[in-house]
Amino acid sequence: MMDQHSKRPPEVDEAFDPWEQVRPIPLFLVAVVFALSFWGLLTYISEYRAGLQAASDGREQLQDARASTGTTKRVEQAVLEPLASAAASGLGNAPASVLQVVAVGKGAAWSCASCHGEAGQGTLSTPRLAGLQQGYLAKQLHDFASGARSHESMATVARSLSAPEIDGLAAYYAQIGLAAANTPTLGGDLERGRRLAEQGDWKTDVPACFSCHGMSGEGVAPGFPALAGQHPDYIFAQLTAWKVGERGNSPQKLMDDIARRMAVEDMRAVADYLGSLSMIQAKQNKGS
Amino acid sequence: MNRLVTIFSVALGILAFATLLLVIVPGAQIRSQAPTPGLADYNPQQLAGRAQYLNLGCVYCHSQQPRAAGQTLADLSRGWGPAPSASDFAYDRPHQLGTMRTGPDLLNVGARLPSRDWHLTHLYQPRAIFDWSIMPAYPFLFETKARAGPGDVVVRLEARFAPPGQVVVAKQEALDLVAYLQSLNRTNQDIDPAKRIGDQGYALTKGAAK
Repeated sequence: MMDQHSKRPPEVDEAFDPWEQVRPIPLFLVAVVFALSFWGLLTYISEYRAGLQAASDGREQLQDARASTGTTKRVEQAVLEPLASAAASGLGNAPASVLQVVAVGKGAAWSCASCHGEAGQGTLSTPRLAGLQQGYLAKQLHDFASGARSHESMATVARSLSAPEIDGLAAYYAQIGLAAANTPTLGGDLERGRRLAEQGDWKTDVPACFSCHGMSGEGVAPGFPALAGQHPDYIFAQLTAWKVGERGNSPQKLMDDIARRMAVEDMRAVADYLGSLSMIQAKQNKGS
Repeated sequence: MNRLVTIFSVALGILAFATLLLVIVPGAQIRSQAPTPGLADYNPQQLAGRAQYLNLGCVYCHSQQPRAAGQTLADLSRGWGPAPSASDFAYDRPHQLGTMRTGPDLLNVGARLPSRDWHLTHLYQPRAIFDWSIMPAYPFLFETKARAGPGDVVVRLEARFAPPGQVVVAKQEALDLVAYLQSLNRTNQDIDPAKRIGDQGYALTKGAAK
């Protein structure tokens, strides 16, 4: 190596003694690290103590609440919207045995109202029952009981009901009048949804929803349920169930085939459009 | 290792930078969020139920974060409701977002399954409703009695799941837990979209969609 360079190798200091710095890390940096960790520790401790305090406050409040009522506090059915039952017509218009099933339940069957709401208004994927066609409602309950429509919770309910009770419940929910005021919740293309509902899409062999479900989606007795005013989440969930073969109780596999031909985006669009139509408005349009 | 000072200070700098961007800035952003309008703080019973939820380890199998429609439609098709924003978790300390979905998402379970009696049956024996369910049963939240006393909440069960000749009654723990589950309802999205902080995945915002 040395031969290639004309330069002389550096002088070697024979007296050189290797040494190590006394402080390889400057004191300043050490101080910063300590300060940061100390700060973090203090923050953690203060938040932990605040959490403990809040938890013990909560326990005291709970004990106070229980002591003051003297008995176990009833779990409130907080989800029922007061407006929905106030604006509904036809509530309580049924034999006592039917109202018992609606409000209290029977045997292993939980009450209808506990999930579908006091006026059958439903929410999210729990469908609205108010104003649906009587024949449709009865058929669904029989299908749940027989397993033709698969839904575990509704099967438990339907198995506990007798045929006259099913008829009574279907008649009761069909006659409830309740204005629907859903807003689109799925972020679907509403214009596309309107076109599908009114005209269908013949390029993909999808007929207009309104050609069977009524000119404004108000439903056609006995078999075609109202779509206007149903919850978008429920319509979308059911279209999906038909598409993947989870729901197979449509006569002549009608909806199975339609849903299979629909694009997922179209299902989303049409569910949002139909759900945000008002059912009452649909009936008025039909009358005029 | 003769440049310890440089290495150490660069490492520290990276750490500080990451802490700033991953912890301090998001923390400040989240803390500035007001609760969603209409969202009420948990009442004492719901808090007790929340403690049950933590204690029983529900979070290990149940998430509380449905995904946005623009990201996937799978969660919507299951009826799990709209994607939440940071404001929806204002009263959740600590949040129960969860990472696993062995069971369904529960953020809106109070909206889609508001029935107290349904939840009691399901907690006592999930197989009484779903014969394929892998959820554990929680019989220790209930007691069996020869007959229900006044004020007792009797669990509705088909005969084959009920102890013969006895009734199943919910203990306070079960009622608290159900009160918490019923309070899980974040479907009210009445908040200015511009102010919503949330993970929308790759979803397009409303303005960008067209």
